[in-house]
Amino acid sequence: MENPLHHFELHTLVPIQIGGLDLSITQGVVMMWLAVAAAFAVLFFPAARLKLVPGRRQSLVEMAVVFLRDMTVELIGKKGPRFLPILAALFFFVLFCNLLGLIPGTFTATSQIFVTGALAVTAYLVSVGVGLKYHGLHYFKIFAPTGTPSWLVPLMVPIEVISHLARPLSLALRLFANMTAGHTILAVLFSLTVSLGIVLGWLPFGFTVAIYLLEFAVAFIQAYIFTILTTVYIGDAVHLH
Amino acid sequence: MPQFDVHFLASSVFWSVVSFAILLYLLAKYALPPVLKALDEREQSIRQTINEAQRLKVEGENLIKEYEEKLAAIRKESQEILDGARLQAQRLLETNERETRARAEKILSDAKEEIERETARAIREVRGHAASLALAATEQILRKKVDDGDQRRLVEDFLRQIG
Repeated sequence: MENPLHHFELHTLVPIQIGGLDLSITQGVVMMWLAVAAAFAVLFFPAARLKLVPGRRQSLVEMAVVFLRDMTVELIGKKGPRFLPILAALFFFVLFCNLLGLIPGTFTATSQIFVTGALAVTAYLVSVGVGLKYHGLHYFKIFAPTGTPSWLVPLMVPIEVISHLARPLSLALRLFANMTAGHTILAVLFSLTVSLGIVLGWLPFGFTVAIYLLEFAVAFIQAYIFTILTTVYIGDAVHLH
Repeated sequence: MPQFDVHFLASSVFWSVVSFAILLYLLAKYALPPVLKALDEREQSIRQTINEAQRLKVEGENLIKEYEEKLAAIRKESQEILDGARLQAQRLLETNERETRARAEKILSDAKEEIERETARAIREVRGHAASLALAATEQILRKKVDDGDQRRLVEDFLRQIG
């Protein structure tokens, strides 16, 4: 049986070396570019093609944008919509990486811990940047919220610091683990199908179809979770709890 | 797991951040503004339509109220006119009746006068005839040579005595 983790391996397509760093183009990088292109192709409307009474695609895009905008307002408040671009970019980037990875024969960029890690750290740094911008150095009071008894501060600060560091880590791991697990199960079930042949193979194949449908939902759910948590972190930074 | 192979760490991190930045730029600059604008415009247009509808509703209600007031005023006015006409008619009727009665009375009294006058005349005539008849009768009775003047004097004396 083929190693079910084999298809997570990256391969250099175009080798690029800059200052000792290997920035080679891999199939993962190509998938990210495709995700960017697909997301833009779906979301972009020339102003003239936007109708007051929307068609199907416009309705869908508007629904998604309104959904995200309402989420920012709900979790961040009145200042929420100004963070819509970065949150929408996160959501659609993750979503399209997830979805494109579901096409058989392609590669899931979000199954790479370094990719999800880079996105998670970026998202977390954005929230820190927002906190510093709105509150200056007062932002670090987030580690010892007002009302904390002074004798608890030595305990609170390390706990809060750890919980903050856990934020990007959990974001990165959750997405990576979900994508990896789903695709691994699909790979296992499918190789089972192939090895069992026509007589018994239909059983794991049925599961493959079911899991594939589940993965389709997971693609949306994980993109949503990634985005909503980032929104919560930005909301925290804006309000300092 | 192949994902923990740090060989592609730099490449994966670099290109994810770059790809994400490109998408962020494309969305922030090109994709989101027109959609948000369209949403705002639709919201605006819906709000406007609702406001317009509300305004028209209020206007309609005011119009209805106005018409109802006008109608009430007209009804009142027509009632007044009708009452006035009825009163006038009544008055006219009364005047007519009075005049008619007066005229009838006058006719009646005229007729009475006429009758009295005629009666008097008739009496006078009868008296004349009676005199003539009496004369003729006397003349026939007497058939004498009494001249006409004496006879008449006699009769008149007689009549004066009885009259």
